[in-house]
Amino acid sequence: MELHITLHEVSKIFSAEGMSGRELFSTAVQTAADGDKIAVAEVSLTIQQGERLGIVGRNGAGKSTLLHMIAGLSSPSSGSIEINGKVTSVMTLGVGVRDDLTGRENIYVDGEIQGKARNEIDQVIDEIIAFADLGEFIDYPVRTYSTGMKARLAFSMISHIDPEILIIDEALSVGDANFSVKATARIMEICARGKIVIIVSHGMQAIKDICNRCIWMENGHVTMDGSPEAVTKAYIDSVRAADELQLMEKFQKFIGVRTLQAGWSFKQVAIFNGESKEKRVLLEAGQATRFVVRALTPISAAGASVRMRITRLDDLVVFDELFSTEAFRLHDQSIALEIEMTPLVLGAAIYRLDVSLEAGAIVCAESSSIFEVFVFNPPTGGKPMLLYPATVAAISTDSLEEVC
Amino acid sequence: MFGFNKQDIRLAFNLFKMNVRDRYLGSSLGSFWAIANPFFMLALYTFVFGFVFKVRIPGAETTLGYVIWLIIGYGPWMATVEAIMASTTSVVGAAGVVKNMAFKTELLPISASFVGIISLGVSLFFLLVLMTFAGNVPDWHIVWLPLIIMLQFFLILSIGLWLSAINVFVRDLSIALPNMLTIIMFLTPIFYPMESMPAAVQKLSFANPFFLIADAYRASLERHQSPSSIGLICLFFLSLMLFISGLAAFRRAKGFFDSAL
Repeated sequence: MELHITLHEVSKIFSAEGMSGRELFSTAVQTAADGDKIAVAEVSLTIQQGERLGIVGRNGAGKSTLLHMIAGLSSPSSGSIEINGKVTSVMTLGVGVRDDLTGRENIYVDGEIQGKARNEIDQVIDEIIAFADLGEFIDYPVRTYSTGMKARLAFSMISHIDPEILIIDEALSVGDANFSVKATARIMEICARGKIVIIVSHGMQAIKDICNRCIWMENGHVTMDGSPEAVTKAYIDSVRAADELQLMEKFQKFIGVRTLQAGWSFKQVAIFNGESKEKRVLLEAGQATRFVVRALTPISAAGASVRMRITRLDDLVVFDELFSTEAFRLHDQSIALEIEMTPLVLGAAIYRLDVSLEAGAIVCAESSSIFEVFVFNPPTGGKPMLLYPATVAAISTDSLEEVC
Repeated sequence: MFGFNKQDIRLAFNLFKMNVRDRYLGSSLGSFWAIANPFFMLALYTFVFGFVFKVRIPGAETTLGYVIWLIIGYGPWMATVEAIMASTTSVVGAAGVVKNMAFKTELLPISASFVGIISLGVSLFFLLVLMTFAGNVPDWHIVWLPLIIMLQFFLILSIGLWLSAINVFVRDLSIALPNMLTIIMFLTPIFYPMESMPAAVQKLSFANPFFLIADAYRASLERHQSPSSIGLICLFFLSLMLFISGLAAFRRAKGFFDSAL
């Protein structure tokens, strides 16, 4: 008989009221009331023999809840799950580990929890001990272990399972780099033996390496189902887009002009791009670009300087330079500074231009504005920070009045 | 039977072993305490009631008679209390395993019930020594003992199925339970003969399964009689009812354990 798993409109609802013991008596189908959390919403899914399914999604998307239901650890609020085959689940490593027992004794305990007889454990114990590679520590109480050693022991315990249907929830990387490589290799081996494998992981590479099918869960729904390459790519792109939105909000908090010391102020902070004589916030890469700063300082402000910094959306500082104002002073109080970038070499992204007037280490006035760089013919293979190497120079000019 | 197979029995046995070991884990005398604890308790009762209070039951010449009578009732009760407590807390206590491994969790309260068998064994051994010493050795009616023990543990594990599942959702249960059990003990003619109860209440005691157990032990060991067969049959059917309903309730509720633990 072919192994398979069939989920029919499976839902899981976590009641906001908490549980009261009603569950002991009621067989009624649970429906969502106000404030209840719908962890999994009417998921229908068929998994055939030979499929190795990866599940991706953000925290709280319902991945683990779905996995727990398939593993038989919890039952769906409504819908049905039909499983043909013996399910082995690896949810958390080392759940049964007793600190007061030695590593060796713990291996027996773990076998006992799995319902194995003593002689069955005897058959695999040498293999497990060899895999854990704990040396003499295997006969020391587990409480004397480091966290990494504990993880190694726990992982080794599952290293010999021979599953029909294997369910793994985020248990893929443990221990130091060396052991982690060994563990990953072993997971692959176990997965290759499993007739059906279901994995939840945030490691996209692991999903691509192990699985031949992938679903993406969002708010309890399956939003995409397809090849691991396609689904992980779509998922990553969406995570990036959402992350950028979040960053943008944080980024915008700084926007504005502030005077911190009397007598210091900005007259103009502007960016000009290409042929345009207009102030721009949307810049085309490759065009000649000028950053213009005009400001007022108190008469006696000797040693004042202007700091210009360009920061990309992800907090990467692209450009940061402190200019002494002496060279740019027009009159006693007025300074003008222009930075030319010909051509504009910044890669396509959103940037923030921070300009501050500083007297010694004291910031006297600051201005922040946002601009975006776009590229007409974006390069393939990712988003570069700079389009090509170029030198950036600040020049002194007396002809600023004409431009403005 | 009841959805259990051979492998489950082995797992239950493994869980039982672990339960016994875990209770005394980290103590230097280890599982020795499983035997020492009930032994000290019984020795204390023997001393207090045999030599300090010198209680006598009517018709008896020595105080040892009361001690033996008491321990026949109290020894099994002690095992019952221990077993019910262990089985009530079994699911919550094994939360890590319950949340992470798919297995028949109903085996947890069932296997935990059997920890009582150790203290029962100690009590019976202690009794045998005491009875030999008093010159009142049990006769052939002792053959009833295995059946009584089986019925006792059938009742305990059926209660355990209910209580362990309820305890997952209402944790107060395991806190209130020791006092509740003490109250039940004093409502049951274990420390005093049934005759000293008001007549109206005496009749009620026949509906008390714990009295039926104590009385069955006393009949077969001390009174040299066959225990009341009606009592045993009632006990069996009561346990069976509790077992079937408890198992069904447990299985309904176990799907919610992982969100309640």
